[in-house]
Parts: sequence; structure tokens; C-alpha cells
Amino acid sequence: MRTLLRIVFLFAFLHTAAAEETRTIDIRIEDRAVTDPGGAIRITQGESVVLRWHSDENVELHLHGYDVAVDVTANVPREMRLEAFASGRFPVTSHGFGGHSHGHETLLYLEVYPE
Amino acid sequence: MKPCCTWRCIPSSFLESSARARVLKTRYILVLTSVLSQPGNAWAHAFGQRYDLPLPLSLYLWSAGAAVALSFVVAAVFLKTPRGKRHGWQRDISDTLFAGIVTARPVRRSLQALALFLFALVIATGLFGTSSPAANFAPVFVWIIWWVGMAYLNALLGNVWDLVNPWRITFRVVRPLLPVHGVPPLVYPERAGVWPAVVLFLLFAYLEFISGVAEQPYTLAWCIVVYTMITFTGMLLFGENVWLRNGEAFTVVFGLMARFGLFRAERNDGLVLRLRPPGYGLLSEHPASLSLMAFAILMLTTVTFDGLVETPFWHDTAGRLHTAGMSPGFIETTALVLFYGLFIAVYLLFSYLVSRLSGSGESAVTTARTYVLTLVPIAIAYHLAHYLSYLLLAGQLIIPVASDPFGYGWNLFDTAGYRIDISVIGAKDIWYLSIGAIVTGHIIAVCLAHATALRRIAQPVHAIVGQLPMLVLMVGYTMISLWILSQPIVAD
Repeated sequence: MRTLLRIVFLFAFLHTAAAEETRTIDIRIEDRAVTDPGGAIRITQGESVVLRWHSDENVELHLHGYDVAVDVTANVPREMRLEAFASGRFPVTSHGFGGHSHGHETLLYLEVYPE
Repeated sequence: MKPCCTWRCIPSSFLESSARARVLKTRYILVLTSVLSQPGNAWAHAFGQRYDLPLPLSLYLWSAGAAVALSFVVAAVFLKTPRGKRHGWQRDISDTLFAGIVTARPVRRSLQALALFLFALVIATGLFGTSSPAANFAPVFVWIIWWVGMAYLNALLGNVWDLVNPWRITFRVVRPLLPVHGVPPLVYPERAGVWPAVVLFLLFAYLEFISGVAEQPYTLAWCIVVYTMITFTGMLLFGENVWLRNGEAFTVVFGLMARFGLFRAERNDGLVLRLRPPGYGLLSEHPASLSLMAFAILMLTTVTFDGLVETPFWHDTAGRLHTAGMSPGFIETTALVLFYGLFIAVYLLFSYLVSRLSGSGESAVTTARTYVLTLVPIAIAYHLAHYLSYLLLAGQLIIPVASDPFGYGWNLFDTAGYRIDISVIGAKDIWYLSIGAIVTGHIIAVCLAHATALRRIAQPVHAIVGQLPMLVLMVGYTMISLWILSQPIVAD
């Protein structure tokens, strides 16, 4: 009985540990547009993700809704950590490509789907 | 409404006590510290975005199917039901305690004083406050709380606007000071109908959707001042109630929505309060006037257009036209006008079919005028579905802005640092509420159309068969609403 309980707890622990694992998603920006991935990024509510940004130019990025902002330097990967506690479709906009501050562009959408 | 705003957020799990919440809380603190260490968090370009997820295909199909199936059930029920009396379902509840409280003079005066205060605050903050839309009371209040919230209040509760209309209240306050007395100088021509309101509402739609300056506090405040002058001129020339009913665009539009609402309060030798089923107020003995029909269709057009311009289909089409050399303003204005014309043409066509199939002998236009108000529940339902999350999320902006209405750095109620909680409502809840609203609105529309038909056509079978084209039209309109909700939102 005790062994059985230990196995059950081990599975439960492994399951939760796996559920708490952080997924990393690489996003490439070339020529002021996202080349990889194509389309919206889909994650599930409750997930922890790291969005890793690669850009060929300096740019400020802003994830709306979650209100997370990062400064990306050209050709230096930049991580944006996110706990997806709220569902919805959130735009990521760019500011000041190449260091010049002008209008904003929507680069891509992050979709957080309910479980 | 597409302008953008600065979002701050706190997870609601902050207050839970489960172990998972503690883990989330720790992670949130990590995210927060990483956010706070970022430069430039004054993202003043964003105001009132919507974060709705597209309606999944399965829910779209399910609700479309439900709308169609239930429509036939309604038709069958009406076929068996004998014709009812005109006021059978409306009840006078003026003598109840509820009515006593709600229509009590102190209650009414307080609400009117509040409305007047907010009106003055909107103009003051618009003219003298910060130009950053999300930090200024005027755009936040007007576009999120008032335009969306007042629509909800009227559609659900009834003619609330008649009580709190700031132009009516201001006029009553100012009138004794003006050198005018007695009967208004001009008689409002009956043939003018609500055409002035149609024109003004069209201008309002242009401001909201096409001008691109709607969220700028200064411009908004001046538009309100100009509109106030127009309204006052109308009230002075033709009389307060006459102008409000015929020329004041918001009295007409909220009036249409209020016909759907549960209650109606009016002055009829004292204050009378009536209770009725939702949508019942849209039924009428007589066909709507031509101008009211034009207004109703314009309202339907703008509500649908609002959603349409956020779809990828629109963005691709408009993008291509823009690349071909047309300006965005021209594209959108033309689209709105064409859409309006298309709506009218399609509606007249289906009205013609109804008139033929039911053997009523009436012209297409008369039939169109007879049934036009029965389409309003579909527009209301879409409006409620489309704006629910906007009201709950972007609407939270009123909390920090209440403490600092001008954006001068005040903190009157200690809420200036409030960050919007984006987890207040989830995508799933929005989906289910949306399709619930849309299917319900559709069914109410079908019921109203059938009730109208039965009143006007002697033979029930002819009446019901004659309704088939109207049913097809309504299903089509509901499908468009559902389609828009299933499209991913594309902000500009």
C-alpha cells in the first residue's frame, strides 16, 4: 500500500513538475516584421512561457494587456517571461525601430486560450 | 472602438490562498520586477483595446444552428396562438414599492445632478486636461462608460436616458435665465420626422469610426460643445421635447434601445412606470416613419460596421485599396455609405418578398417600415456581446482616472496607481455570454416579427408563411454577427 502511495505521489509530482516547466518560444524579427513564427502565437492559460526575441534592429516591444515591455538590441536575443494567467488575444507592438521614435506597429498576436 | 491605451494589470489570484496561487504570486512578483525594471512604461499610444479571442468554430456552428432551429419553433408556436390584445403583456407597476423608490424625486434629482456634474467634468477635462487619452477623464468616460454603458442601461432597463440626458437637464437649468418665454417660435414640420437625428448620428459615426480624432480629449470636448449649441438651438426654436424626440441623435438611438428594455417611465398625469418582456416596447400599432426606419437601419449598420473594421478581411481589403492610392478616410467613409445603402437595399428586397408572400397588398416600403424595429434586438444583442469585455476591462480605466481626471498628477481617491486586471473575465465566459445574447436577441426578433405579422394579416397561415423571407433575413443578419465574433481582432 505504501509503495503504491509512493508511486502515486511520484507520478503526481512529476506531472506537476512537468506542468510547471517553462516553454520557450523563439520569435524572429527581420526587416521590421516577424518572420518566424507565422501567424499568432498560441498558448494555454496557466502556462509559463518565455518569449525569446531576435531582431535585426534595435526596437522596443510592448505586449499589451499583460503590459510587459522589453528593449531588444540588434542581434542579441532578449527574453520576455510570462505567466499566462488571463485568456485573450494580445497584440505585441513595436516602438522606435532602429532607435527612431515614430508610430507603433502591431508585430504579432499572442493568443492565450482557456484550458 | 479601436483607439489604444496603457494597460497595467494585477492577477486576481493575488488574493487566493491555495498553494498554486502562492506559486503564481511568486512568479508574478518576478514578472513585475522585470517589468518595472524596463524603461518607458508610458505607452500613451494605446486606448481601450479589446482582447477578445475569436469565437471557436464549434460554438459558431452550434449557435447558428440553435438560432435557425428555435426560429422554426417560434413560427410553429405563433401559428397556434390566437391574436393577443395590444397591451396584454405590459403591466403598469406605478403603485408598487419598487416604482415608488425608483421614481422618487430625491432619487431622480440626485441622478440628474450626477449627470450634470459628469457632463461638466467631461468638457472641463477635455478642454484643460492632458492630451493623453487613457489618462484623461473625457475620452475614458465618453467612449467606454457612457457610449457603451448607457447603451447597456437603456437596452436592459429602459428609458434611463430620458432622465439623465445632460442636454435636457442643462436646458432646464439655463432656460429661466434666457430671454425666452412661452410657446416656442417655430412649429416642427411633421414631415421632417427624425431626419435631423439621422444626419447628426451619421456625423457621430464619422467621428467615432473614421475621423481618427475621437479619443483626443480637446477635439472631443469641442465636438460636445458644438453639439450642445446645436441641441440648444433646436430646443429653443421648436421646444424641448419636440427637438429631443426628433432632432437629438442620442435621444433617438437610446430611445430605440430603450424600447427593448424591461421598464418604461413616462409622464402621464404623474409618473407612470411600466414593466414588459424584453423587446415588447418595439411593437407598435403603426409602421415606423420613413425617417425612423432610416435611423434604425443606420444604427444597425454602424453597430455591424464597428465589428467589421476589426476583421482581417477588412484589413486586407482596405490595405490593398490603400496601396492602390486611396486614403484610409476615403476608404472607410465610402465603405460606411455603401454598407448603409446595401443594408437598405437588401432590407427593402426582403420586405417586398414578405409583402408578396403574405398577400398583404402593401408596398415594399410600407412593409419595411412595419417590420424594421423588429430587427433592433439583433443589433442590441451583437452590441452587448461585442462590448462586454471592453466594458469590463477598458472600463476599469475609470478607476485611476477618477482620482486624476485632468491627468495633472492628482490622487483624489487614492486609486491613481490602479492597474487594470485583465483576468476579471475570461475568454470562455465571454464566448458563452456572447452566443447566449445573440441567440436570445435573434429569437426575440423573430417573435416580434411574427407578432407584428399576426396583428396585420387576417389569416394566421398567410402571416406565418409571409414571415419566411424575414426569417431568412434575420438568420442572415445573426450569422454576420456570429461571423464577426469568430474573426480574430486586428487592431490597426
